[in-house]
Amino acid sequence: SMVKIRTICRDDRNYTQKNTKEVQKVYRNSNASLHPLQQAREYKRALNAAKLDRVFAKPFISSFDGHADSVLSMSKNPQTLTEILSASADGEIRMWNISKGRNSLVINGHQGPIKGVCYAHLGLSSHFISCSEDKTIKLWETNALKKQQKAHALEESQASFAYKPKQEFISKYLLSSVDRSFGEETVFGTSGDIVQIWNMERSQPIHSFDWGIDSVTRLKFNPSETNIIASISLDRSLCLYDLRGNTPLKKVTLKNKSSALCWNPYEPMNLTLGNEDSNCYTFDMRKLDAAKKIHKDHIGAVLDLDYAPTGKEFVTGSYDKTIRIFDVNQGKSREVYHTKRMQQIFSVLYTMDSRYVLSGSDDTNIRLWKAVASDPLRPMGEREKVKMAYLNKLKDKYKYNQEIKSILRHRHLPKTIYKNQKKRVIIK
Amino acid sequence: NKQMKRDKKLDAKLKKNEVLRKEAQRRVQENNFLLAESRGFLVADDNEKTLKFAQRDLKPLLPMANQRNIFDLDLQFGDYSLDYSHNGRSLLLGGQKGHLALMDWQNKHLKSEINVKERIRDICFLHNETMFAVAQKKYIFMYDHQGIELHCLRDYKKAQFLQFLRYHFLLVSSHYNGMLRYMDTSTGKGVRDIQTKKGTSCSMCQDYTTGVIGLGHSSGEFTLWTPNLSKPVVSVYAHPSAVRAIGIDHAGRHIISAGQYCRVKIWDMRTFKMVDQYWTPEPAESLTLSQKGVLALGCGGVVQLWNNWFREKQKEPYMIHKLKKGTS
Repeated sequence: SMVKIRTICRDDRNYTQKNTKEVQKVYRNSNASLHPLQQAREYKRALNAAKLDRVFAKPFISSFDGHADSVLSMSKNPQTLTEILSASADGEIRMWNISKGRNSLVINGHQGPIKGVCYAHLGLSSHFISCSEDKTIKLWETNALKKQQKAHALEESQASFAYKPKQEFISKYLLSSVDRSFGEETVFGTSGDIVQIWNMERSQPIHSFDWGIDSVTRLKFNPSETNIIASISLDRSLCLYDLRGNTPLKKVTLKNKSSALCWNPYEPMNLTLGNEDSNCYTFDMRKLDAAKKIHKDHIGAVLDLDYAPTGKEFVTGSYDKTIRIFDVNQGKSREVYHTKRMQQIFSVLYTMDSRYVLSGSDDTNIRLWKAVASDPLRPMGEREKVKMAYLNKLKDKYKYNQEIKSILRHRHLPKTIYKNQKKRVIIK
Repeated sequence: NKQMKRDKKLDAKLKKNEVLRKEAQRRVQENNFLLAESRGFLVADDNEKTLKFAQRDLKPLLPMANQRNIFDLDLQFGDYSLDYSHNGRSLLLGGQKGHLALMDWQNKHLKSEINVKERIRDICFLHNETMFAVAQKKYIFMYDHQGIELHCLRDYKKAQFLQFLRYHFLLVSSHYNGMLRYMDTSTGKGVRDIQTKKGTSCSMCQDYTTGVIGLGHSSGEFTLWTPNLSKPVVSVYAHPSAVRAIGIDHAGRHIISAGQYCRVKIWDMRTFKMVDQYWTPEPAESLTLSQKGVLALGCGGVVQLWNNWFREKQKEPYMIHKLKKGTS
């Protein structure tokens, strides 16, 4: 014929889902004129995502009270997510079930303040070690303690009850902290006047490291290179020891003394120090001449530090009554938590599912916080997860945009911290 | 003078992002092959012209499904304003004598039909087919898809034309004596009232790519407006007579204005210089553009379709459809 004609002829059957098992076909035309104002719309979505992030930022979950004196040390069970230990300045050790918010055990362990408490190696997960100012180190076993607890409960006697440790070690020197080896099940180390390495099967320390005049405040075993130990001492230094040799390895002296120390579990050659000058210094142990990164955001001495199991973030507790969460590669904190009732924070923990952060402070409370303040925590369906992932990516894309950055970074801070931070900027 | 050191980590990040972006673009282009439908066309043999073929001649050449889609609606309630919803599924008809009808265009089913018993000047869908706004004799009314009256906007008096800025949720209304009013339909509050000072406008259109409103005036000029300025963004003296119809193409590159003296002019959106002008048998009272850029002009009793007007000056329309005697 004289003319050719073609029209769009859509068959309804091609565009409808026959049943729920069939995949719904979605046709997307990328022609820009069909999707106008793309940049503006995306910006608006990012802006709303940033605002909602702040709206839903409710990080505080609960506080566990029970201790009668400031919480000096905490430790997380390597096998169970919900179990932690906390030790206080009046010699009390408490075992908590975080999800229930209750004590499972209250142990009057020591006579002096407990300087360090630590779960034993993964292979001995029901064991934990505590060391105190009264120069004793006690090895406890959870199951035995629970049996004792039951027996005492049945007795119903009002007499004060003392739990019996599995083993007790007496140190010649003062003690300041305890940590266990990741390599050998029965090896643990204490710091104090000197660094001492113990074996649970021996009553005397198997190694002693003495380098320098001043006492050692903290000690940490490397999670991967299991023979390497890092310690910080009062002469402002960081010291590395190797168990295989009998002498210390390397020493680096900083301007101010450090109070906190932690190895990165994901990149075990890196470790972070929390310093008295309120900064955290991340070092590579192979190259100690310069810090890899300096994390500057606190205004008081950093008292404790713990890494997330992902190795991407760490949480710090400081003398300025705030907790900060830092990204390993960033110099500024991602998050800051504070409460009027929370005083100086002596210990922090990052839980092993990397979703929660715990802080033990001078006001005798242990507080449970979310690691990501606007995390909904509830189980999410697939569509919601995809949406959340998209919004997080949007926030990430627009984080340098002036308006969105000021919304995302906005935190309410206590007056002292706000003023001090401003001062620091001026001093710079 | 120290040269700023390159941040190696940031450089690496940006490089990676660039790679991802290019991959995303490539995939989007690839995706277009999956589109099921292709563009329709009418092509005549060498010695024939496409405009000679009337719709009734072409009908037997179409597939059955399409033939069934062609039908006539005999409407008696005065001049009709039309609006399609954004997804093209619903059609709203509003007659001058007060007849309002909402149809599901895909099934040709009538969803709701009411008579408001007063003059309707213009109609407009809001964010989707569930709500629409009607510029009635005195006030603007908002109705539900069932025909239930939702709102009567008593502050908005004597609206002549309505446009809905879809991505801004703004209902734009052009009023008697030159008022241009923007209203946020999500909060229900007026955003901006602009006094155009050019009298009651003769026509109104929207630029889909930017959200700019175009008004055609009886003085022969057309103006472009944004809510943040009290003066027009652009003012072009287009015709020696009233601008009866105005339209902006979907790509946002051309403005088409139709004057009282049978001329249709095409203007470039960046330079605001006339690109082409066409003559129509009668003054074009309504003008609209398709997604693929086909221009439709309603000139008296004839509907003219012009194709490829943006490429080069066309000698004749692509298609012509003569309406029944007495209709326009």
